[in-house]
Parts: sequence; structure tokens; C-alpha cells
Amino acid sequence: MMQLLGCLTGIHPFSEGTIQAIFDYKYGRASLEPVKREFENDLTALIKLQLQLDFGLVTTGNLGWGDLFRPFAEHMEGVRPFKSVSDLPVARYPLTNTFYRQPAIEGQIASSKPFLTEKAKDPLLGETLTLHRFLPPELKNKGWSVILPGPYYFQYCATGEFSPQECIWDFADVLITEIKSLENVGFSHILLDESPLTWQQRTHQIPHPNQLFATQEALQKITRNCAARIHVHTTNGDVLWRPPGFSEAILDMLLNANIDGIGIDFFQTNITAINDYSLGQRDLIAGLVDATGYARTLTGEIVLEDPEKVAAQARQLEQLEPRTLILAPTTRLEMIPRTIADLKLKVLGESLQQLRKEEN
Amino acid sequence: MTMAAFDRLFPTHEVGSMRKLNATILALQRKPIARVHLDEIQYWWDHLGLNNPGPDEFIHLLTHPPSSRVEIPEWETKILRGRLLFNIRLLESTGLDFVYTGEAFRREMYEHFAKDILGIHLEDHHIRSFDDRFYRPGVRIAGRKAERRQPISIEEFEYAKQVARKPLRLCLTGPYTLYDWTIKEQGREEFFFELIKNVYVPEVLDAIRTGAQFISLDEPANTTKPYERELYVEGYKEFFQTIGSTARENNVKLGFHTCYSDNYEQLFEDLPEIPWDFGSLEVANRDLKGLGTTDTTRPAFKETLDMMIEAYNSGCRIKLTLGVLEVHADKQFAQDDIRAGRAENELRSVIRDRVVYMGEYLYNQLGEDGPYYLMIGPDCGLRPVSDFKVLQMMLHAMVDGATDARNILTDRYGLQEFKQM
Repeated sequence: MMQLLGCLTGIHPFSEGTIQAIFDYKYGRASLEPVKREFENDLTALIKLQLQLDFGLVTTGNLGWGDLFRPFAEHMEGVRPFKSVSDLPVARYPLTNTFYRQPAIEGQIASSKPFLTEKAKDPLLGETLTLHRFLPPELKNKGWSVILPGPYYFQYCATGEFSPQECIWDFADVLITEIKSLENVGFSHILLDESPLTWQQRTHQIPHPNQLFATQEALQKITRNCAARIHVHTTNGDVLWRPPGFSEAILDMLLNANIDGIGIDFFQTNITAINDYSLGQRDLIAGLVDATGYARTLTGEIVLEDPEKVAAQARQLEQLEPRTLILAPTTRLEMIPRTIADLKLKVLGESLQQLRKEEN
Repeated sequence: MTMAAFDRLFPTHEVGSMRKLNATILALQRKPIARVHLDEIQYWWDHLGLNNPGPDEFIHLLTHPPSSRVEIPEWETKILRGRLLFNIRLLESTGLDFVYTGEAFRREMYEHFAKDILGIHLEDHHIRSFDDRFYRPGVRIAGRKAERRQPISIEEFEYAKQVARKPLRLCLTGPYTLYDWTIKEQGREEFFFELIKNVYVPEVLDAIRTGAQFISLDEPANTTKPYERELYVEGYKEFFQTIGSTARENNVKLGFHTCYSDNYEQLFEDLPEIPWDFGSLEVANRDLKGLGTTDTTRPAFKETLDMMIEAYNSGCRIKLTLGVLEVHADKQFAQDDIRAGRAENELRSVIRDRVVYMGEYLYNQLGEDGPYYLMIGPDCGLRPVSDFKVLQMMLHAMVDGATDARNILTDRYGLQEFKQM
């Protein structure tokens, strides 16, 4: 029987309480203590919500990460050292009104000693960035999940003089070291964000075939060398897109990488068109809830996805024969307010409940 | 006076919002104001010689909210006006050719416009744009056309006009950015045209009637979605068709600002399509930080100038600011270097080199008119600079760097200080 789970696919938003506390601290109107307090409340509430919704996979929502690349920009060997993180150039996440600081490469990138579980600290609590002491012990080695940038995404967003292919390869080695250390503390599910693979169709950029081949091999290597389940997520583009000059669609490329699971944005990929595929017992992360959009009515009511419709779409995906069907938002929910983001998770939770009921 | 400044070789201006005085924020939030924040008011009011209101009067205003609800709006307006007066005098003190309100009346660039647009529901909660920067998003109301509830920036501009001693720029958050940053269902392009027709045309016409001569539309969202490129161009063509003749009759200059884009190629390709008078872009952020006036020491400027020349070869004739001052430039220096004036000297020299490089490049490529197509400003608004003394120092360094470059190039090529293009 197909397993049904839910998961987050990126950084989760701060609550309004935390944001107000940050404002007060930033402008010298209050100390850091209220920020810490609010942040810890945020974190525990998010974990509690995922447990209540019975997702089976639980993350810290990468809360406390400046952006997906920040710990790598700060701690990886081969990146330019800096006095303050604000020395790093700011760049826009394509197709959004959000930004990140670019990792600045100036040598061969490497991770001779893992930093995600050791040196990298959460800037608010001052604890290990993974903040895994907050995750539920009963899901340790079973359901602890974390989102990391994939090798293609990393080279796409980094700056400096470097060979993209070598960067993809070297970053795969960095990820292997880091994932092993994450496994050691209890993480068993790794979601590698490789969104540019699909969004480049919409940014009118053409990925170089050699970089796609290198990515495929890098993902294979990571999966081969790590015990955790390695999932690759894509968003904001059609996974059936075949980049000009490349012999296959992005979905084929990922299937051939032998990863454990694939994440697809079903607001950009046609569900019917994908049904010709078989996932061959891989897991499917189904982005069925729009992480960036919703509406209000004239009376101010929030209009979200209908859980029944989400469940119906999920049912169509059973034809792909995934080993596990994981319901998810299309991407990070950081681009909508926390209250709405949590409501979106509840939509997923309700859909999941309905599907599980039908399975039984 | 405005037009003389516009015709100057390398006219200087700032770009956007400034940090708000903490005491004014706390007062408006009805929170207690610590001594340190009142001391900041005292210092700057003394330092800039502000006397209407004077420091004691303004501090009294901040610390004594009226007990009657009816008097609150007037009290709040006085606080905002005090903040605006400070911003303008601070900018004037740096020697800029054009000044701005620093968005004194605006809490945040998106929110300030969205709150006065029927058809957008402004959320109470914020979302993060990056690091510790957040904004309140708006959500499109299904089934409601976008319309202006009331004039949005006119009150602020009218007061600024009374206060400013230098030519004044008016900045509006642009319609495409409003469209793009509003959370909405997919495929709602009519919303963009509603914003132009029902919000921006009346707002700009009101601004012209009020005496604005130098109006810029802040469009940081431009180029973020290449698949909306035609929408942007079509929308602005419609905008200029509607207000173009009024702008020309009143000798009003209209411009744009875009920053942190990874697709300037598209922006420059589209530049000849829209009849802008001026524009500004972030460039220093992507440039090397050291001295130098060669292609290898100024790679980001070379890349941008090449695109600019291409646009000019396609008929585009606008004045462009390629940002010469990073908004985080102060973070490159130790506090001691800032205090001792070494940071200012270093910044001034780097900016001088950036301007000299650009001026010479355009002189060589476009002839003696080339350098006059340049304006000088920071990459973006200097709101991230929390210390006003540092902000003053940075803008001062920029103005002096531009002056040094102007002197170098007028000597070298016999250029005039003013030239009407």
C-alpha cells in the first residue's frame, strides 16, 4: 500500500510576534530577549502543527536560516571570508520579491569538517543551526527532515570565478559530508532544492547540457553515498520541460539520477501530461498547494485551496505509482504571512486525512 | 532651478527611503521614548539648525500625545512633518543637487500605496524580503477593480515643497511593482492596467498640478518575471499616452528606478520602447570595491555601460544613474575608520573613480554629450544605514566624489558644467 505523508518544501515564515520583536531590536527599541522568546515559540508551534497534522515528516522550517545558502556562504571552505555577512552581495531569488546573499566562491569549495550540525549557529538562539533538540524524539531517524540547496541551485546562485561543472561536483561532496553528519544526529529525509532546473524555462535561461549531466551525476553520487532518503524538489516551472540542446525532459533527467524521490510543482506541470510516466517506486512530493498565492473576498475572508480538490488531484497521481505520496506546498511558504502559511499546511493535513481514510 | 540641476554634468541625488527617527516611531506607537532617542532629536535639531519646530518644541510634541482622540490626527501629522523636515535638511546638508522626503510619511513603500487602493486587502502581518527586512503584503480582492481611494503622495509632497531649499524629487512606488507584489491568483493582467488607469494616472496628474517636476516611479520588480516583459512595456506605453502631453506641457521629467535585477539585458532592450526622461539602477553592489578607472577595475560598470550604449544606439535618450554607492558601503569599514574620516576619504575616491570611468567611457563611445547622460546616486534607498552620521558621511562622500570627477573631466575634455540635452 502506498504510504501517504506531508512535508514542508522550504523556509517557513516567522510569526508576526517574532517580526515585531525583530523590528524593536533592530531599531534599538528593545533587547534581543523578546526576539529569542518569540522565535522559540514560533519553532515549537510549527513543529507541533506538523505533528498534529500527522505529516510523518517534520522540519524546523529552516527557521533561523538567513536564506537557504547562508550556512554554506558562511562556513564552507573555498568561499570568500568576510567581516560581516552584509559584505556578501545581495541577489534576487528569480521570479520573486525575495533576496539572498550570494556565496562568494574564491577557491575549491569543500567541507573537511561538517559545519551544519556543529559550527553553524542559529543567529537568534545561538544554538546549532539545525535546532534538532526541538524535533520530536519519537521521529528521530524516521521522520526528521531538512531542506538544503542542491548542487545545481548552489552553483546557479553563487558568485565568483568558478567552473559551474566543478562547482556542482564539489558541492555534491560538501553535501555528502553534511548529510552524513545530519544522519548522525537523527535526520533521515533530505530535501534538495533544485528549483532552477525548472524555473529557468520561465526566466528564459537555457541551462548548459554539461551542467545538467554534471547535476545528474552529482545527485547519483549523493544518493549512493548517503543512507538518508534523498529527494529533489523543483518549483515554479514545468518538470516536463526539455531545455533546448538537452536530449530529455528535466523529469527524465531526475529519474535517471536514481534519487529516492522527486518534488513537482503541479501549478506549473500538467497532472494529466505527467501520467504517462512511472516513478518506479520513487517517492513523489506533490506540490498541490500554491505557496505564493491566495485571495481575499470583498468581506475579507481568506480563499485557499479546497482540501477535497487537493485530495482529488492527489488521487490522480496514484497512477504514477509512487512509493510514497507526499503532499506539499509548491515551494517555501516564506512569501506569505505565517498565519496563512499555517492554514495552507492545514489544507494539506485535511487532504492527507481524507486520502488516508479512503486507503483504509 | 530643478531643470538647471537636471542639466548639470553629473547631478547628484539619493534614491529612496531613509531610516526613521526612533523617537518618532515610538511616539506614533504611543510607546515610552528612551532618553537616547530624545537625545538623537536634540543632537540633529541642533546640528542642522532646525527651528520650526525647534528641538524643545518637537521633543515636547513627541512626549505629549493629546488626550483627546480628535486631536490625534493633527498631532501625528506634526510628527510626520518634523520627520520630513529633518530628512530634507539632512539630505541638503550633504550637498546633493536633488533632495527627497526620505519617505517620511510612508511606513513602507508597498504598504503606503496599497493602503489607499480599493481592490487590495492589506494584510496585518508581514513577510520577509531578506535578512531582517519585512513588508506587509496586499492581497487582490476577487471581483473588485483597483481604484485610488484618495491622493496617496500629494500631502507629503505639498509639505516637502514648502520646506525644501533644493530641487525636490517625488518618488512613487511603481504600478508594476504594486501589481507584482500583490498576492493574487494567476493570470490577472487586467489588474495592472486598472492600477495604471485608475490609480497612477490620477496620482501623477495630481502631482503635476501640485508642482512636481521630477517624478520617479520605483520599479524594483521590473525584470523579475521575464514572461511579463510585454505586459510592463504595454502598461507604461498606455501610461505615457495618457499623461505624456501634460508632462511635456509642464516640463515634467519622469523616471524609473530598478535594482537588484539579474536581467538588466531585458531592461536595456526595452528602454527605447518607453519615453522615460531618466532612470536609476543599482550597479555598485556588483562592482569591485577598490580604486581604478579601467575596464578590469570597474567590470560591473563596463557591463552596464555596454548595454546602455546599445540602447542609445537604438534611439534611447534618457539620463541614467548607475548607482555608485552601495547601500551597505559603511559595513566595509571599522568604526574607527568611520570616526577618523578614513572611510569617507576612501569612499569618495572609489566613487570619483567610478564616475570618471563612466564619464570617459561614455565620452569615448557617444561623443561629448555622453557624460551628460549620467546622473549620480546610490544603488538604492539608504534605509539600511542606521546611523544618520554615517548616512550623512556616505552621501557627502558621494557628492564630493562626483565633484572631483566633474573637475577631472571638465579639465580633461573641456566640458561645460551645464548642458541642456
